[in-house]
Amino acid sequence: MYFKKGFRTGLISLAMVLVFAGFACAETIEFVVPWSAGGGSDTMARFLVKSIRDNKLTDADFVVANKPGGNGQIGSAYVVNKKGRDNVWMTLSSGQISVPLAGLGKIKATDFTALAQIAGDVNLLVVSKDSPFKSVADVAKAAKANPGKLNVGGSATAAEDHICTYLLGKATGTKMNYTAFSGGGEVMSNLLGGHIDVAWANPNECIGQVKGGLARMLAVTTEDRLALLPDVPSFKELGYNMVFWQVRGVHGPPNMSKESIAWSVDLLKKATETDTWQKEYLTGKVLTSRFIPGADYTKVIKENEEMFREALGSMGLLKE
Amino acid sequence: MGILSDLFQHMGLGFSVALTPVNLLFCFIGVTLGTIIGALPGLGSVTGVAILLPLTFGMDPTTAIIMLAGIYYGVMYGGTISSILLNTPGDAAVVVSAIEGYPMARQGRAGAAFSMNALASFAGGTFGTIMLTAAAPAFAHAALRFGPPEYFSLMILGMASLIGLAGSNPIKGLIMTAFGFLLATVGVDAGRGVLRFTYDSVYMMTGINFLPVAIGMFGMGEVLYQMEDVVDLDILKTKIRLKTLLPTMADWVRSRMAIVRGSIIGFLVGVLPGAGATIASFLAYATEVKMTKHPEDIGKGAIEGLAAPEAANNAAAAGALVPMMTLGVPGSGTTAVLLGAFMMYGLQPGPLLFKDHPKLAWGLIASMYIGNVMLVILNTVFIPVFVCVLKMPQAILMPLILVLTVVGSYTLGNNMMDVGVMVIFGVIGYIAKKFNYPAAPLILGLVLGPITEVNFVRSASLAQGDLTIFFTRPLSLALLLGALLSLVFPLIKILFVRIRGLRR
Repeated sequence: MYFKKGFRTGLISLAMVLVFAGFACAETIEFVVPWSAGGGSDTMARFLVKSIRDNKLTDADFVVANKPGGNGQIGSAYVVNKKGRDNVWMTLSSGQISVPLAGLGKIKATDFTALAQIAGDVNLLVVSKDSPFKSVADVAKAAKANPGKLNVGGSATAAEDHICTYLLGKATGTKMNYTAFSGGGEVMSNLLGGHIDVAWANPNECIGQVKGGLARMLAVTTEDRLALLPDVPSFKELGYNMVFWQVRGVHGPPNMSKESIAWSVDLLKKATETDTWQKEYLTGKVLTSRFIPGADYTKVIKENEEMFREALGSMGLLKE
Repeated sequence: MGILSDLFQHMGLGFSVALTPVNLLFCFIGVTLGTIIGALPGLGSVTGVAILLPLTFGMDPTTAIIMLAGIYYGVMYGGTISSILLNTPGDAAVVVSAIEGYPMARQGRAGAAFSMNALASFAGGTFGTIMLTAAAPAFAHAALRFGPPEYFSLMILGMASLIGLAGSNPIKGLIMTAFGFLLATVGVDAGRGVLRFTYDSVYMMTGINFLPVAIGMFGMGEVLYQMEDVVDLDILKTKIRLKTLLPTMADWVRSRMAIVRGSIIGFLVGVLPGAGATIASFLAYATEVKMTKHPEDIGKGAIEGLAAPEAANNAAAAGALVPMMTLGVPGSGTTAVLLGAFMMYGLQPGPLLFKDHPKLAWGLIASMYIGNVMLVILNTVFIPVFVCVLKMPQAILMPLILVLTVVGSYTLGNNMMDVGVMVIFGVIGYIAKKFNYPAAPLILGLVLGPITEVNFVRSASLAQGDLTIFFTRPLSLALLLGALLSLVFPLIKILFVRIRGLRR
């Protein structure tokens, strides 16, 4: 009887050792997306994992976990609580930098371990095919003639589109009326239906409608024209002083170990150099290739935070 | 003539794609997975499609999209299974199906409920697919005329019908509706991003998700209620015979028009980019509550109240594909994920999809006819199996439901907050049931509340604060008049009856 019990305990311990050994060999990285499935951050995470898997860059496995809600704060809170852990990644987009500044949450983008910016996204000013506006100048003229009456649509309050509306108003010396919708799809259907005059959209949110002749792009927020959209002028070249880049990056929990940071940054670099990433993701979804690791990325985040702070302050939305 | 022959040519192409063995197989896998995912509380169509999306990498895009779409409309069939069996909705779009479906099961008529679900779903799904085939672009462009003011007015119309949901005691119904509305105000407000009732908790910022509330109120509340007095129902011990598995003639007569109305409402609401299958099923149910010839049965197993939302959510699933495929804008949460899937394969849904990828577009549509046939067979064949679940002793079934409610609410967003919400509303649901307060109006208030508010705020913002926008737009005005009519009509009816009484 005693022997039997000992034998059983031995078996169980052996099994446990094996299980743990298995975990140690093939590590699983939990890749948290603090937004819902199907959105921009989610797509980026899934393409990143695809780039790593298809090109067999590592033995480690990845599990994408969507933790949506609270303007990205719920997923962020989850990752902050994983302090010191090495097997957690999280996507970050500009909204997560601006939202805490507007008083909509306590967790800031600087609370995490910055691993790398892996892509740059931009904003486009878009109108529907029936719109009388043929250029940014037409929009500016209409906005000047009816102060505060021109309806601009975008997704979310105090995030990228809202801030771009403010920047455009500043650059053109006008005041426009911003209305927030939930997500790029809603913005586009309201634009096509004529319920708003102009809209902000990421290239991949409007390229289908533009190619299909339902909408037109008036200008892009980059310094120069995008190589993938050679016919769309930049605000800068049209003489409007506005430049806006949207950050898309990967972060780890606070206090991630030095080895893990080095391992992650190296893996991210390799992944963003693959054809899967460059062709299928960046070209396919009209994003800009950009890889900024470690300390330089932290600097990008800080600069963005400063820019958002100034903009939100002028908009009367700063609540720190 | 030209249009018709074009249509036949397109459908010929579509079926030639959909009927290849590989596509048939994956269509079957898709609808089967959809049924299972739907039946599991917590795993809905959005999560289901998102989870299975990575598995389709490397597949032919047409095959992959056929499978993913199969999951989407399969969930509409499967979700009802747990609504009827366990009073625990498997997906947001089937919450209302529990209201009439579960009482039917308690009366020993689970088989009839399942058959009706399968058939109403088939009718709705096929109707939606026919409309998608025949007139997708026309509907898509018409749907764009729905802006924030129209959505607001549509919700007002929905709420006006909601009064009927109150049942025997309208005051109690109104109290529950108001409670639902109050709960809907928790979280970040739609206009300026003000935090309401969040008490510094990040979880409260998202607001109270209606699914854990529904799972708690219906599922756990029912378990607590049954625990008072665990008896094995004799009616559930009856032998399974074909006769008890099929709806009676009277059931058909009652449900016939409900299915027609549900299909039409479902498709139209599904096409709207700002509303999906959930809203469609609620509006179809509310309409049925108004239209039924047996108001005394509402909430007690009225089969037309099950048939209408089932037809509606399936028609809506097909309808939601209309704006996605023709305009490139999602018609619901799940189509948003599907849109992402299209883009992952390098396809751009929108005006050019039918021109650039006719095989895929028409293949997908053809596969939906086939998928719906597979689903109706699948869901009918397994009815005896589902009914057997009910023959389980209550002492085993009830704890099992409890486990499912907890797991289900955790799966929704992978956080414990939803489990907490579910438990709290389980207790509230129990108390409500004890004191005869109906649960449905609370859920409806919680579903319609945020959409009503956000569209009110957006309309006001678009009109720079001028609230006449709701009356100056013809479509919005028509919807508001409809709401007024639906409120006043019962009063006029009462008045007429009284006048007639006085004359006598």
